[in-house]
Amino acid sequence: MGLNVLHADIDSFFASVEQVENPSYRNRPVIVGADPMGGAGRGVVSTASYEARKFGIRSAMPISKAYYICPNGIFVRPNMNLYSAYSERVMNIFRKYSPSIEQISVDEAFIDVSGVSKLFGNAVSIAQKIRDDVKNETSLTVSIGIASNKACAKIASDINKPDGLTVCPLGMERDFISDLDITRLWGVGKKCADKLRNIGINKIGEIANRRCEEFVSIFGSNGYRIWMLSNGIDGESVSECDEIKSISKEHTFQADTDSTELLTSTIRSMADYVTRDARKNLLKYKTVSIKLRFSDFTTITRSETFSDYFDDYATAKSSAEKLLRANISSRKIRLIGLSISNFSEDIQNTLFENTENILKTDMLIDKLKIKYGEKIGRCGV
Amino acid sequence: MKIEIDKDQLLKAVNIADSVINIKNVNSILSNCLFNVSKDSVEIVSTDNEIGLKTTIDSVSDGNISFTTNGKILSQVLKELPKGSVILDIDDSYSISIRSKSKEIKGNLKLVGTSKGDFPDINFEMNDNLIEIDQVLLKDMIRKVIFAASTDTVKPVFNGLFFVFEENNKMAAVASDSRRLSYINTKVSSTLDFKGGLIIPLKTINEVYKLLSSGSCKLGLMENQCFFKIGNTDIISRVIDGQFPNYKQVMPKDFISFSVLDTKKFTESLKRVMILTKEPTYKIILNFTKDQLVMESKLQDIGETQEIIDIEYSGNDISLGINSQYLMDSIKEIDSISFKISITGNMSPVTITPENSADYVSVIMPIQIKQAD
Repeated sequence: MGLNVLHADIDSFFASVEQVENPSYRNRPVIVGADPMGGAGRGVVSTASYEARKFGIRSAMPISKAYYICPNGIFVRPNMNLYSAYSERVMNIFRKYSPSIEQISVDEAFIDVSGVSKLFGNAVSIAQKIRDDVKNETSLTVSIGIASNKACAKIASDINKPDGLTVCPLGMERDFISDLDITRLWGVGKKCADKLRNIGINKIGEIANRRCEEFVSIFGSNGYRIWMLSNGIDGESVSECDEIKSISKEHTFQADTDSTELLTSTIRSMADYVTRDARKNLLKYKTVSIKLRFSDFTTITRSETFSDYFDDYATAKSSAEKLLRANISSRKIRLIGLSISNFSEDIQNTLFENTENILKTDMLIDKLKIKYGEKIGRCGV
Repeated sequence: MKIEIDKDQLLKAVNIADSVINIKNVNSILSNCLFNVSKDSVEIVSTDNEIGLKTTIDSVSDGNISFTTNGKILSQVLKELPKGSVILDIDDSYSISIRSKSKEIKGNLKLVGTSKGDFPDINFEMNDNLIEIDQVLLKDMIRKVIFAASTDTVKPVFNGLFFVFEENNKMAAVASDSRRLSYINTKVSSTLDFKGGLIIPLKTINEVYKLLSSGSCKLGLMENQCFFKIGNTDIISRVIDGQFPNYKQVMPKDFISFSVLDTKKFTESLKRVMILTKEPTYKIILNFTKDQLVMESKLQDIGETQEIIDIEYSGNDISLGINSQYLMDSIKEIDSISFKISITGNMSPVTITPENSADYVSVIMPIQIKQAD
């Protein structure tokens, strides 16, 4: 154990890339997200530059609200190909300093620097080198947190954003995070935070000071995790490829719809997409879930869990259609989503059934799609 | 109407009958046991609409009567009474007053009963299509295969035990959940016309298993029902519709290699390796190399284990992924001090048999292992 875990987070990534690519955007509020359409736009803010954040604009805020607050801001549609290219460049810089990188999203990663000190010096000097390299090579800024474990490193990187370097001192993990708001804890979302506030807990230290059992009784095994994290303890290691928990796909319609035909064909193409991804990753799913957001923004998710594992298109498709049929009414739908989860990597073969033919069809279509692209269709999609 | 019965006998009989009752049948007459009282015996009948059970005990009474009452409550009452006789007094409104013959207990306890009313008529008459079979033998057959049956209701044919006569006087029992299969073949006194075999539901098998002790019992078949007569208890049950898959076809006959292992030693090693496995597949890797078996398991972020056992093995090196829980289930029921594990390839069934018997066979389908394993 030592100060070996770095959490590196690119500052306001999408907006910063836009500012790098378009010098005229620099020092101005840039809002990456949906089209504001003069204030009538649908969809949300994806990333706001620090200049835009000064106006109070945040990620996930409705784009129409952002437009209302800051009508003179620069509103741009996301250019994912461009961001991916930048992300890859930054991740490659991280890889120069350690073989053990766990990329958790397009703009953040954990870097385990244990064992590379002879090559590059201690964690702080490595972090500084990484920050310099990223700035020189891409003009982006990276905030880095250094700690003895992942959870504390992630909290630390967020403290002096943007362009910060924060060290959580070894042995001081518990004190370091104790004054922070509970939402800074990894895995404490809005609902969880509300429950904690209801019992008078606002700061991380207040969790650490209470008995673990109290949280286990409220949150189950997650309560144990939260309590451990609040004490600055996190045993999870930096692992190259994190386990995939679910594969999902969502679509917001141009206009709210109640067309069963459109909903069905959308969900079928999603079933095709997610199961293809599962097959590519050699995963088998047990649970199929759909998400429906109605025009009044109420959102429901409904799922079906099987007793067996599958990786074919047909099972996900028919389950999703069944869930859809059971939950559509006259209410118009704004967004539809499909996810598969509860994965097993191990493929247990069966003695009797011959499922090979179904799989062969799926795999053939997968190959065709790689060769000819998405225009290769399935029947009914 | 007064009935005098031995308390322990009545308690045992009520418990046997009540175990068939489906607790979901609340407030229906089927949540009760039916008591058919005659001068010298009481029949206790229960059913969940799939299984009917009748058990008979000796008693002395002053007439005939049929009534129903809740078996669970009656059982609790009887449990707290002293040994010896109990007197049940049933009045015209089917209220049952229960007291011990023991002078030491003063007081009275009354349970609500009902008339036979809508309690279904169950025909326990047997036809001649039956065999006599030793209870110990049948119990052993059930124990050795039942673990492989599926409790998951997706494929009903796997929710039971399949009984079939393969040749004269040779009865086989087979259970499977489609990933593994257990098979046992035993010599019995006669042959029964099973019409291609019958699948007896797991619940029925479990009831039968509880009743089996010593002596012989009867097993019979008529239309889509099977029946058992075990001691003073008769069970009649529906059989599961559908065709049990061709089990013979999935039991390998040709092997590429095999090894004989010490049952106890292997079990101990397996227990240690199993610690670092997780549901749903409880995967371990078996690596067979010359004269050595290396068993491995690994859990991300938790740890890994390795056990090495010296064995006699002369086949080609092979690595198999296997569900350790399945393996343990099969090994546990092996009575011999050593067993044989036969291999047909890393994507084909693994076969487990006692060393010197081909009559008891477990087949387990391997788990695909990735290169990284």
